[in-house]
Amino acid sequence: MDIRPSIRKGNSAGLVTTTAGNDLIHTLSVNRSGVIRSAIIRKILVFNNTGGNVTIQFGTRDASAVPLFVQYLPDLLALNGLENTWSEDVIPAVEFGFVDRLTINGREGNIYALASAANVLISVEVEEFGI
Amino acid sequence: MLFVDNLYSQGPIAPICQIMEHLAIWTENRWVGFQTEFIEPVPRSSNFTVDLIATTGVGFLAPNATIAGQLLAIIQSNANELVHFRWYVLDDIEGQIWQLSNMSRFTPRGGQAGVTLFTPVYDPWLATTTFWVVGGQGDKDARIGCTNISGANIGQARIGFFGYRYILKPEPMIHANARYLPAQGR
Repeated sequence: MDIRPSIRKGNSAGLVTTTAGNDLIHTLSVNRSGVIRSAIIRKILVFNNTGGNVTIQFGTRDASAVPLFVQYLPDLLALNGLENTWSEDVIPAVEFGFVDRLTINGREGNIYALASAANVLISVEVEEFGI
Repeated sequence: MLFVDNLYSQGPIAPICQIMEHLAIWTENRWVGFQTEFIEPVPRSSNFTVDLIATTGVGFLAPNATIAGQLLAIIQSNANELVHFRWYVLDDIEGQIWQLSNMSRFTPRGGQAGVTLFTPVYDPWLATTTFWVVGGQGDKDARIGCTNISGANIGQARIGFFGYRYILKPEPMIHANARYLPAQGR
């Protein structure tokens, strides 16, 4: 038995169309006692039909008064006219999780994408850890 | 190896007794004696799966929103019958059970435990979800509710049940060889 049980699920926001700003991809689950699961991105599917290549960053937001994007994964280049796919064989197991937000180093944990252009379609599969 | 045939032992669900054997059932705050006249299985099936969102007509369930305990016909039993169920959830919810006038079940001092998608990870036979409902006079039914713990709006909150149905004959006294089981919290 895995000491850290997990479930796989599609991203909570469903099919996301980028806005070239912070786009919420997945909201972490919260259990009845307020404990928040963590998640690792296992698959990314991006369709780019914008007319040019688009850079996409995945990360979360910090505890600033106006939350700022914090990049967690290296930039991914979504080639124009292609469905761009990344799966767990190439995605490092970077864990998105809540970090106490009393300080500026706090992290929301929810997964966001920041694309260099609007109108790119994104779907993600995550593996969530918790209960 | 010593094998303790406990009510909640790990392993596939099995009848708690044989036909014509005796039971003592904790219900309405007392032990009541019965003899078992008939047993039949209730396998996992479509009509023993319920969608609490559809049942209650709420349309969707927001994150952390709850559906209060629902009196579900599929887990009710006729007078002098017993149902013996295990249960599971199909969506990212936490199901909870109440029994006998909304007494919360699976409830130590720390709070009411529930059943989630993770439950079968640790408990593949769902033995820790076992409950019984005995039919008859009074409010002996179980109620099932849930909380959306997915972090997102969900359109379905599905819960399934499987187990056994027993037909019982009341006995004026608890038989010396009766098997004791709880059909109520305490």
